[in-house]
Amino acid sequence: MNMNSKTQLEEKPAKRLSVRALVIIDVLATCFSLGVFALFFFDLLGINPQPEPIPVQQLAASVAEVTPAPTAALPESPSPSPIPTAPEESASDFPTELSSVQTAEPSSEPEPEPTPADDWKFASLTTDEPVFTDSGYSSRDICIKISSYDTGEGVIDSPYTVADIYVRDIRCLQSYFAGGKYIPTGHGEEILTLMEESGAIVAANGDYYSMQMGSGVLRNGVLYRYPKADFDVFVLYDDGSVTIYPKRSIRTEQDWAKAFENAWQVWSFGPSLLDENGKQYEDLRASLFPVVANRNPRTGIGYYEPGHYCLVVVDGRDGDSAPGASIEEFASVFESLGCKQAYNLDGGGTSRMAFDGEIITEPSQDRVLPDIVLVAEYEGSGAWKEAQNAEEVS
Amino acid sequence: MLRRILPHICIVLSLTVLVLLILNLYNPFMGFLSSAVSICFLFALCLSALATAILLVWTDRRK
Repeated sequence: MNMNSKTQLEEKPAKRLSVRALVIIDVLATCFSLGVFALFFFDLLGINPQPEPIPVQQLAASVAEVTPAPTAALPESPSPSPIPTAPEESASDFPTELSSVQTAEPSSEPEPEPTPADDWKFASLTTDEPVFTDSGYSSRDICIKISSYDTGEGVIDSPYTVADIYVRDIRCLQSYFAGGKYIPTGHGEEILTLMEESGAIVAANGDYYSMQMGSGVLRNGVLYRYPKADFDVFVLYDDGSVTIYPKRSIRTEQDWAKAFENAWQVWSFGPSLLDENGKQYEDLRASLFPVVANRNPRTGIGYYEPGHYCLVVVDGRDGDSAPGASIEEFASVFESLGCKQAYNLDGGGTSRMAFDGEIITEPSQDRVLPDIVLVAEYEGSGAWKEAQNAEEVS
Repeated sequence: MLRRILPHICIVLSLTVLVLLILNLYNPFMGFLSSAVSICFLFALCLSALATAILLVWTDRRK
């Protein structure tokens, strides 16, 4: 009898869940797994303390400690060299006042001598007092000219807006984070709010750093993180010159530290649009998905020479009246403007430009921004406040 | 018990990594596959796949 019971028990098939139940359980478990991934990836629990931002001057000091003979040039390696940009003779004409910003004991540093207006190459474009007009702004340190090209007026089919920017002091070309601080997990505000907080005269969206965890972030002379993913990286130095490092040209943080020495701004999005001769790259589309390379609203920054830059925003996603610009068309805009370097920032629904408290382009959708590129009088601006806070902390 | 759970762990981890791969295709700048968390998931997938395979081979040989 006992033997029979045992045999019956062994023969009884194990209770099995139906296939449908198994699939549902697996799918739910996958969702849970993705949730766990998101928790840690975006650090939603705040487990990983954010590294302290490093002022670039301190970064340069740490590079000097690591490397006995520091140099701004990149180490020789089989990797491609960065695109040469600023001619040295013009860079030397550009006054550099950044060194007074991040020093540990600012009071002991001599005040920077005000540069006589006549010494600056673009002094004829400035005015003694700040003056706003419908098409621009000028002051002692800044000249901004806004040009809008309607459908059929410019070199592409879509309307676009160009802010031609001249700054005597590179500190006037700034970046500003939503919330007034670096928030890697994402925080956005309307562009007009960001402009008001930062004292911006003209502003456009930046590289949307919070949606690109692998991007390098160095803003207003303070390093927040090194690039980790493959970007062309735009570096604006404190002498006003620009270098765009092609993707994969630098791998290690130590080499990035050298590349970022004396950097004032770093943006990571891309691609770089113009070659060393100021002509658009032929294979721009190669590294992009067609949906990205095709016509879209676009934002980009162009570089002519130290002290002279431009911001360009192309409207798009509005039928035939504003189809947007493909990546090649966007590069052709900068080529037509005569830029030496040009760099694509975040586009699509993010693209927008505002001047004097008004949005002057036609954004394709409502969207808050985590960061903006802006021009402001340095005194009282967002970067100035950051520098003041850093001084108080130190 | 382990023999029954391991294949499902494999399925769940594979689907998770597959989702990350697709996300990475659309936005490589986010670094979905290069972060420490992603590497942990990939490592776990490798281990579970290995364990499942070994169990399968072992069971097969005992039959």
